[in-house]
Amino acid sequence: MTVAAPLLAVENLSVTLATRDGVAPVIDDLSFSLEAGGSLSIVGESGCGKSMTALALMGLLPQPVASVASGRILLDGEDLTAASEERLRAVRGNDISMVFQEPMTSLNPVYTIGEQIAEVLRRHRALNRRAALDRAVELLDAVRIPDPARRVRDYPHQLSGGQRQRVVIAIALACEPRLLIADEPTTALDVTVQAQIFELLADLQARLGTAILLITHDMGVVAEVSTRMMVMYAGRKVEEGRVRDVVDAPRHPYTRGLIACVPDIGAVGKVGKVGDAHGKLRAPLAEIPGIVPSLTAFGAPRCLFASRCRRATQRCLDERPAIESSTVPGEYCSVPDAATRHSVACWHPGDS
Amino acid sequence: MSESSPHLAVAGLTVRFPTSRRLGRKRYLTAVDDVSFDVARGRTLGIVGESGSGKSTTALAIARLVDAQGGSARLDGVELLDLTGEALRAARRRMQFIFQDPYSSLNPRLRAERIVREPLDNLGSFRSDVQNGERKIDELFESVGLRPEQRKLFPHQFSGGQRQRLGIARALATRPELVICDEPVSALDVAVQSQILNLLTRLQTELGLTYLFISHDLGVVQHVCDEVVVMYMGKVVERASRMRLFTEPQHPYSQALLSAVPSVHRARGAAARERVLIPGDPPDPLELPAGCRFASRCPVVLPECLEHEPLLRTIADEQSVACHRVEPGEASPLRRFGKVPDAFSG
Repeated sequence: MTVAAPLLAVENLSVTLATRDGVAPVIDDLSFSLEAGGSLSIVGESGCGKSMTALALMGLLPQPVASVASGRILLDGEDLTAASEERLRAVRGNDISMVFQEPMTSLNPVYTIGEQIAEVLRRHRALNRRAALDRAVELLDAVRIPDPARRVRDYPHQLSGGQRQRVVIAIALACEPRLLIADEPTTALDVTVQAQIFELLADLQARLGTAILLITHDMGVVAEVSTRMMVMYAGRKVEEGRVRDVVDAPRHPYTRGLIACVPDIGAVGKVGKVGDAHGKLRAPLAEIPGIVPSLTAFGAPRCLFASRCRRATQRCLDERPAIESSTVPGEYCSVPDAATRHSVACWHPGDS
Repeated sequence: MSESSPHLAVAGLTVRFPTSRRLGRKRYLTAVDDVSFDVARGRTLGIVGESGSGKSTTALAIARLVDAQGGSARLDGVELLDLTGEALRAARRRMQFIFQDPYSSLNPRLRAERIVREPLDNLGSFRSDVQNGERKIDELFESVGLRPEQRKLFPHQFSGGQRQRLGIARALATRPELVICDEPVSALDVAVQSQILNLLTRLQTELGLTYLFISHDLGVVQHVCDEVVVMYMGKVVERASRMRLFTEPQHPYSQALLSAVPSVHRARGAAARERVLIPGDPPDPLELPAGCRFASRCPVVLPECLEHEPLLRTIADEQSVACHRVEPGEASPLRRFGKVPDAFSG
């Protein structure tokens, strides 16, 4: 392996969806990469293609409605878009695993959680039943389920929502995958449980060196969990960079809107003290006017955000903005350029 | 209308649901247990808590959509919980509900105008005054940011945000004074969420509405509410003004809850990532502990917490807390016992 090769490299990936109104590119010329042991978040509104990206990586696109039209998905240099179904079965759950949003529906209600964890180990590691169950107990302990030797015989309905999601994480990590895709892993959970799950993921990442691709709509989660982030809009990448660069100085108007329109829990101390005795002096939230474009508009050769953008000009309607990158000077000279790269797809990017 | 009489006064509200258990023994799940709060006219009270805390059930009981087993809820001095028949219908005109899910709360087979008209038909005066009624619907559409041309469309032809606007127009149709918003923006994307929150704020100013705002999202609550009630396992654990709660939370649960919310701004500083983690899950609501319900997860628990249930007591202006470990005039228990990293200090 060469020094700089990333664990995962997605190159010019396009995924099309066959709809009643024709073929729409739900993922449109998407490129990104993830280093071994790194963490990247994909952020965007519903329908922006973030979950489709995850399914494409896993080779789980709903066939024949959706299919990879062009581009490559390289895992350690191996192109997964060209891999056979048999090869994909060997990769899934072993090299790449996924944690889904809804822990209630991603577990099988008629098998014990121990059997479901053991299944992965028997399939990929050829362990026998006994050894696989023993390992399942260890994994439950690793995801901090209390009394794992007894809980391994529980059915999913006997666990709380947070515990179920821990079991799903235990299944995903059973074979110590190099890449874990977490698709809105805590959206169905309460915030105190969410904090526990992210703490657990960070800990496992540090111990196992698993790279984590987190898919979320919550900018706050991204800011606290990942080191790099990518913002998607209508199937395209609009901005990518280190989380702190993007959050501190978003360059795409959509990213700026996404950050500004979330009411922030930390706002009280700052804004609230200005004559807030009776409340109503709070400034209205920033709004992104309008709604996301419909699927029929996807793939058009222009900026798809233009209709909602204050900076839009004729050029935005005529030409698709190319992705431009800049690098932020690192604190250490040894930091490679790639680590600080900040890219944006906008004809009028800016800092304010 | 004097300042002293609250618009909505809830006292000792209790809701129990029967659950069948083995051996034919009937047991009750107490979803809301002795909940009290007041809301002043034109203000917003937020109820926050995690799933199962009883916040939605509280709202449903006040709206008379589930039956309460005890306590009182007075709107302008009128006891809502005793009303029946025509008097209840009259009260419903003054008190409307906005639901969480804009997909399942609109009848898919009715056109938008019929959905908005329905409360007028059932509670108001549409049938006797059709012309005014038609104009009213146009006005309602306009006031929530929909176009009158969209009146004939069906719910599936609207986006999620537009559907929630329809739900708001429906709630406003009878010119209510109290609007109960049960997680009105939780099902929406963030960009749309801010549009709806701004709409709700504008309508409150224009129409002088009183809001009871149920949410699990503390960022949203911080933005819209004047006062906040924090619930845990059916009990109010803390009640405070927005300012007090978000800058000086006292109850260990409130403080942990606030610190667990991921924030874009807080993350700008590595040290600020430290948070109060409360271990474990809430207790089984059918086997509630004798003492404090939060004791099993509390970082500063004492033996007495396991035996005696703490009562809600006023510890400062605009702040009441139900916790044995809170001392009036001092820092919160978590802070006094060094359970909060200094970086998180509001």
